[in-house]
Amino acid sequence: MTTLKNGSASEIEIDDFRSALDEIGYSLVQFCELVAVTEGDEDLDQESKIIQNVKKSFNRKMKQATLNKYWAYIAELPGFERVDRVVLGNAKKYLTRTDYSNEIISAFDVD
Amino acid sequence: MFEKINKDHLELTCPECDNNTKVKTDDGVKCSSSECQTSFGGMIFKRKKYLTRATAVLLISGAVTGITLNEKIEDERLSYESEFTLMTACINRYGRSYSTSALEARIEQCSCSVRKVVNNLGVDSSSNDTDEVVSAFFSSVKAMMRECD
Repeated sequence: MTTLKNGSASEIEIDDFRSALDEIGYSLVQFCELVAVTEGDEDLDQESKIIQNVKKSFNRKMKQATLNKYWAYIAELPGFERVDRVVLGNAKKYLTRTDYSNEIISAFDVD
Repeated sequence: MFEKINKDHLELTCPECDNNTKVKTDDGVKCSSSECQTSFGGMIFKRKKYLTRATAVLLISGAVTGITLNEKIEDERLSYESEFTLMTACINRYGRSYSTSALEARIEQCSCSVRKVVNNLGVDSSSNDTDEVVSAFFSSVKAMMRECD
């Protein structure tokens, strides 16, 4: 669980994600299509752009937030129970009543 | 620790009942250092009130959950709501995926840091100011997260 300082996911984390895709029986191309369908708003041009962008994102530095989003997508897939992985939501949702949400999150933001 | 008033005597504030007792001598009360000799006349000496652990627990619980808690706490732990909130913030963060072993390690690290900081609550605090106490609490949490890693 080594996130890079600039908010990018590490190579290990990206490898973990690709291993999870293998375990589910999904190729990278199938995953790109899944993202396109989820985010493309039923616009074919848009979907095609998304497929290219997702493919590219695996070949360069990917943001941690993007990888977290991708984990959330595949956590919904039927084969995900075979993957030794737990996907958790953003804690900010639990911190709406406090005035100290930034302090709380930042106190625990150490790796 | 003390405030200066326009009187020639000094006063001591009782830590139990807050009443002031005047202390007056013929030549006043001065610093015993031969070089200093500063007069203590016109000063009120009061023992600094340290934050009790129970007060700190209530204050932090309220700050974390955003709910004002007035009732007396039953044990010296944060409220259930604030413990849950802190653990969730520590484990989930901005949304996260963990392998089972990494999740177990993270739970251990989070609970260790919160437990250690709560056990020290009130010990080092000399202020009742919420922002100050909360800020000290979270900087201790950050330090403990590293220690508990």
